[in-house]
Amino acid sequence: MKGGNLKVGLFVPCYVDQFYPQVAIATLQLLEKLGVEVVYPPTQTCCGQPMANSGFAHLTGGCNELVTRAFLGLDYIVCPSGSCTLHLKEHLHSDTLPSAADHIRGRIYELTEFLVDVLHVEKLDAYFPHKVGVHQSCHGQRGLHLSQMTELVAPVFSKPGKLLNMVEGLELVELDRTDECCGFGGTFCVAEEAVSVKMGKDRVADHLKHGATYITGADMSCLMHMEGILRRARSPVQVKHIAEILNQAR
Amino acid sequence: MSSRDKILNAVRKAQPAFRPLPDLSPLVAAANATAANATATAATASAPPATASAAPATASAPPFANPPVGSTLERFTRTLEAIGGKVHTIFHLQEMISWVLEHRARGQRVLSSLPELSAVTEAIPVGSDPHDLENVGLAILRGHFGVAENGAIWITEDQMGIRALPFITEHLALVISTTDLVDHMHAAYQRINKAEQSPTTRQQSPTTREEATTPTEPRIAQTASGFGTFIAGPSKTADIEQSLVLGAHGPMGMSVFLLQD
Amino acid sequence: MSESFWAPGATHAELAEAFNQNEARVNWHDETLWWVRQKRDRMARSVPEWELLRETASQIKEQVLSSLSEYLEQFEAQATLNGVQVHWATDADEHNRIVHGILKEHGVDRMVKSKSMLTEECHLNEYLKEQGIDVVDTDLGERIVQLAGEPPSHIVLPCIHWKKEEIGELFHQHLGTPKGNADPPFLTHAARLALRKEFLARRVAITGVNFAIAETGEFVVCTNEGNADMGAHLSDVHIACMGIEKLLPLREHLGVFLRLLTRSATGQPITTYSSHFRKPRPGQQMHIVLVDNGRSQQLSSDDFRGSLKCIRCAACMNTCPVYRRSGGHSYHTAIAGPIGSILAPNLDRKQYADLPFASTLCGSCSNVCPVKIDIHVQLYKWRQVLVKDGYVAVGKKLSIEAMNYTLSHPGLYRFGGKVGRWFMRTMPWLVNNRLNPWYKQRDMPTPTKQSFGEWYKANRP
Repeated sequence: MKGGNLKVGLFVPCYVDQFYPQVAIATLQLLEKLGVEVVYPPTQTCCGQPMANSGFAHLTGGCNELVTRAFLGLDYIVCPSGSCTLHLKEHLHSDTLPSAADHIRGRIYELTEFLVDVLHVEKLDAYFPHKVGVHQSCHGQRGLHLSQMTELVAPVFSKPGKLLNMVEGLELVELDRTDECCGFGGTFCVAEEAVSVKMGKDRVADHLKHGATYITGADMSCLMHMEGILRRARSPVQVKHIAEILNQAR
Repeated sequence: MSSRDKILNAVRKAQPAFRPLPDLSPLVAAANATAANATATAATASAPPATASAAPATASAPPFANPPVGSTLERFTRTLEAIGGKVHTIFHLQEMISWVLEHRARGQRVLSSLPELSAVTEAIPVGSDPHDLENVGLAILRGHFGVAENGAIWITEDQMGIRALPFITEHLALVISTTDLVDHMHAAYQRINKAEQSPTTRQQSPTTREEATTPTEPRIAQTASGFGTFIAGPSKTADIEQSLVLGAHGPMGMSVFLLQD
Repeated sequence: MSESFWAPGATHAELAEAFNQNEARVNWHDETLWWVRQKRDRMARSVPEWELLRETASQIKEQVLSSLSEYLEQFEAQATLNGVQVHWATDADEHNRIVHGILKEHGVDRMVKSKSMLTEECHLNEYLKEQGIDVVDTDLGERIVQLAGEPPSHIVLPCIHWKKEEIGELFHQHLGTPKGNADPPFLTHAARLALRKEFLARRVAITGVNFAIAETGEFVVCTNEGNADMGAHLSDVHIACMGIEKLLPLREHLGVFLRLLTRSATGQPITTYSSHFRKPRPGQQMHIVLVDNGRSQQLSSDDFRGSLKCIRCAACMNTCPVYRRSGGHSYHTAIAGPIGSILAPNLDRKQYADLPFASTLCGSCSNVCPVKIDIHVQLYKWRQVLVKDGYVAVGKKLSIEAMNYTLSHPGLYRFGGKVGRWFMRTMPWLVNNRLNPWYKQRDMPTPTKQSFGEWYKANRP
């Protein structure tokens, strides 16, 4: 686990920047603790996914150019969101700087996969004495393969699970449905409000049934959706991004 | 232009560049390995403890899968019973007579193609109106072979006498030899193709566009059976709230008699 | 059944919201289908070479699509040699007219039909009804929805949305079963007796086709109930209707697909009957109707061609968290769920423009698909096509354009975020109201004083 000499650009999803700054702060601090030099280019805004998933990919040129220019010449780009990472990996392109966009597509990592696959983290100085349920966000899991998918007949693994197992005091709870979608789905959460909420309620209920006091995951968007449902139900259970837990020292 | 030509022209224009057919042999080899591992597991399990520790290393299955165990016969029997079939092992066909008489005693009409049972069964009225089979209580027929992975038995119309018979009968009994079992569906079709091949046949699967589409001597004889089916257990439905009910439109029960050689 | 079953113009979101009025029923629907998905998982895990099986099936289907015209001609020639009459239909209407023509030729006004999603797609039942032909669906689930005047809500489990008590009441009204009896074996037996009379009385039977073999001219029909065989073998005339994409090159390819089909569909190792029809029995007529109905159009598209690999197992529906919680009828098309949402827009972009959006793009559908169709990728691509073609509401278009404008200008984005959060903190009622669909059943995130960008500027100069 050596971050020495690596220069990493931090990509912060727009909604994290605006509503969950503590997640980005935790990501930054965690990477720095692991010896990585982190820069945060201030001209970044959004990966473009909200438009693209709504069918407006043709409008995302502006966002693409901003991302491409902001992250020029870095060794890696790390993002605390599987969904935004996947979108950039699959769709980032630039008419003015095509090779720079190619470089970013190949060098962007979601936080947990960066920790496991690039930094080879085997030990963490983290303490979180709680029962925690992991929400597998679909784009991170099925898109980036952060963990094995229950549909496949293939070896089981989990990058977020591996990291959480390094946290002292943390107890992972088993779920009935380990990788069902929470129903956030970008604009789906308002366009298909009824089904979106029902999916979220069912996901939350699975965590509650198994005694989780925190729900964590690698995508704050899913957690924001489940947090909205938990708060409406006045539940004491909280959501926490995985970066916040991994960065939580004793 | 005819609709036929319109469709064919549209398809010809739309279809992408030619792709070769995949080679099935790696898949068949993997299915064979699964079966071999299952048999090896069974041999290990039944071996005395002293030798069990020296079991062949080939039998290790991937931990994420739940592969079958047991010999081909054990797998066939277990699978067929799990889908509602009844399995009987016999040494002589005459052993079936008392079973037939039980059905007869209940007033059932019993049809069979087996000469060994002709004393207690009615011969199949081949060529007659299938509607006359409406009141058949039990039909006893020969099948070609069974498939261990799914409990199915392959039967062709020459064995049925009348195509409707195995479906319209209240209860179906099929007789196969214990040696007439294959492990999986790939082996099943190899066996069917072998039985029905033309005298002058190309045995290789085509791999090029020309081979795949140029009419050559057909591999399957034109005289081969006009109808055949895999039958796996009694007819069933779970259409009402996923509750499994045996006896939808076809037989309420299905028995397989495995004849030991 | 009829398009008129659905309110004109009703969208998936609206129909799904109506379905969600009864949460207990949504839970029941979800759990029933999740149980089927779990059965599928158990069956898949019993085959260690499962992923190789899927990959091989996918490659066979892709090869078929690359040579489809040749296989169609080969199939036609071989089937004709087998004594089968082959018909070609460019669209649903021609398909229906061909079927009706055969019935007229035989002077028949009653027939039995086993499950065929193609005939649902073509709305054959309504067409024949208008021509005075009485069609009896013989699959139990299809018979139940037919008696109720509904289309199937699921392609494998047509009445999965019906409770046994409701079926008991339906049978009481139509079949005269005792009121209040909701016992599945009893109801199944009652339907068996009623339908047996139909099988014995009708001279023409229609079946669908699961697979057709170019090499031999045979076609395979899979059922658990035995209804396709009962109909076909008791009929004087057997009509098999199939989409042109159902072809497989060689008979041994059936070994691959029959291993996958039922394990994926219902979690059984195989259907009870996998019947291979090659020639009519002596004295019987056998017809095959080959139907295009938009398939050659779909074949021409690099993005959407893969949807033609579908073998109609419904695994994508059973795993889909949206399907399970919105019901098949909310898709207002014959083939519901994820696969239906990428097939339907090809038939009518305007009418089905909502369906590719009825998904979170979670990707579970693509993972269970036995022929590896990239369903969720095609859903994403359909969204792009539908927006470009102008099938998205003006309001949505304007709000996305406004959002995009803000996100394309960092200064405006930072300013907007600051102002937005300030409004949310000081005047929460601006967003926390019923006009905000998020807030209807969810709280909004607590607005922070500082964005990360502002924190970074202040703390990491």
